[in-house]
Amino acid sequence: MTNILEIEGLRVQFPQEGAEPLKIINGLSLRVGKGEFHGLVGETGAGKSITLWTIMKLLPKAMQVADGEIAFDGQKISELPEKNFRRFRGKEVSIISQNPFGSLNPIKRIGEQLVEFFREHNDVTYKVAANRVLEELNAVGIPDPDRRFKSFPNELSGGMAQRVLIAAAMINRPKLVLADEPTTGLDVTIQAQILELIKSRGAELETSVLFVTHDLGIIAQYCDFVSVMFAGDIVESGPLKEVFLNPQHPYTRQLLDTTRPNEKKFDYKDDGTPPDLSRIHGGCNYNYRCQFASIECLQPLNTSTLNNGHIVRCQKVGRLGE
Amino acid sequence: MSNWIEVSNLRKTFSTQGKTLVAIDDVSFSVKRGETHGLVGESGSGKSTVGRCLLRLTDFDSGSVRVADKDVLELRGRSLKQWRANNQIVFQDSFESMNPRFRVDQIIAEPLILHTDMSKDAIKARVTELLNLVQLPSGFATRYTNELSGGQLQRVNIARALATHPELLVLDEPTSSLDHSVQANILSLLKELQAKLSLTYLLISHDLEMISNYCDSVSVMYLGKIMETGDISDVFGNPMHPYTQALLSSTLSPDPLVKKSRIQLNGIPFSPLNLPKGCRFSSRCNRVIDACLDRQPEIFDFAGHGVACINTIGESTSKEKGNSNVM
Repeated sequence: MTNILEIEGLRVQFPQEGAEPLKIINGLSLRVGKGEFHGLVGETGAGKSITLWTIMKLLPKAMQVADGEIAFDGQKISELPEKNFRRFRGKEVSIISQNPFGSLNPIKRIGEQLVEFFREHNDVTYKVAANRVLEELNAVGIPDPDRRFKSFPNELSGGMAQRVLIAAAMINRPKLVLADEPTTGLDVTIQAQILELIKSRGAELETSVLFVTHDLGIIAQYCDFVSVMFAGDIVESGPLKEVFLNPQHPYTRQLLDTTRPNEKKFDYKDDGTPPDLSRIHGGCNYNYRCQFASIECLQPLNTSTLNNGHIVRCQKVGRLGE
Repeated sequence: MSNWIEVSNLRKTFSTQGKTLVAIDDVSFSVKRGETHGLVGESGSGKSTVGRCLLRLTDFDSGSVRVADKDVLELRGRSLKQWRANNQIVFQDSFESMNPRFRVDQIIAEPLILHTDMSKDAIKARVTELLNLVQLPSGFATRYTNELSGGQLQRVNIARALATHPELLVLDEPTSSLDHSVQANILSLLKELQAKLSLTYLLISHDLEMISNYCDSVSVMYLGKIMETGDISDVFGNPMHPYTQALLSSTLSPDPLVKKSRIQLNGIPFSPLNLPKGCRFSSRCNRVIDACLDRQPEIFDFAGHGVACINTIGESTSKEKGNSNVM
């Protein structure tokens, strides 16, 4: 399978006045295959959203890409001129954010917003675009699209607003959709509807999805591939079943075990203290929370490849006492 | 053992945009001393409002709340203040609920200054004891809230709530802003404290997994009304209301080998400003019949397992056959 997205050795820093910069993304490498539903999981502050922003070239000005390369469909995005980048954003790659109301213009009818979004990338008349928008609203399961076309965002429920955002993300038939915790804050019954929708629309339109979440249930039930992130690096990655049924990194194991409090295998020393981003080093940055840590964990980190592209970034892979 | 919390026919409305919003309607449940009762439901279903009514942080329209055999509406002045010391709340957003200009020791000491006449030294000793109780190093006393992580803040929040030796804690989504691994730590701390101090908890959450792991009994709310209530093993083991069934079938197992059949709900929830005269779940229910649209169903009691659905009347005899493999 060819890859739609390839990130190689990405580093993002947040310079501090008179101090070491905060190292937010630290040598991250990630591949998303064509048509893949790829889950990206990690705790708050692990750099999940920053990774998405970097792909979209939407990093806040205060942060800088220090190293690394992002290739989209074979083309390096650093080589795309800033001027043309608007064509890329929203057309080739689109984003579904966590808070739909924050992404919609509160004083503009949703139909108009979608029409504008479609016409930005397609040279068509208003009428053609409006018809296309109605089709798209229908496809994401919005009842009575003609009436909803004229609704303002505040007239929609959270679930409906999220559907509108999915319609917006899909209307230009992007090759990759970045979904940033799109179901946080929704009731589980609505969450199920939204997840089914993203999955089925993605499959219909052969769109790859990079799905950011910290809900391991979503990953286990919807994703084909998963990457586990900690302190700005992917610590473990691979096909879902390889990673979830045979987790090798202590952080992944600990994460999966917290979902089954009654069958805990180890007594973890991990108390969840976030890493000090000004003190990121070349070794394993999880070691201060890891009960298996020893002096060798401070050495430069290697990537081990196990079965079927299952990747682990731990010095002691295969040697963690059971 | 008699019930520590007894809530009956509680109703609370707000007026907004010239209309009446029924936030909670005819809510009744009871909790035994030392147990944890879960309130579960989507955002806007009235869970937090029930918690606030219980502590009299807000007044209610009708119904009654009794805690430890006292009617909370009859409390006035000094007795209300004393009662508040015994019944505390842990808020959802620990950062927002603390004064950023206070040090941790000042935050934890605040209820002691308000509710007791302890000396400065006694307060200092109690603060150290409380930090110890929530497993924070005593050096944290001099820190400010912006120096603490989410999990540490929540521990301070719990220490503050426990300062005056309360008997009841309302936990309003105590871990919703925390990561999974930290969540597990806070919950096991709460569990430990409950056993040590014989606390009664009302746990408000929309996390079904958490409710099923930590509660003794549960009430499932939808648009201000209880849909199903009872012991956790009854409600989660044998859900009878279509909403509870759909909720439980929508939880996602972190085990990729577990594939559940999901009950797909269609339809859109009613607006709380415009509730129907019939069942308020009817717009999304997969078992709706004509009679559902006529009137709001009462809670039918099947030996302590209450269900507000007219479809379940005929099923009381076949209660055993329900699906038992949900969680």
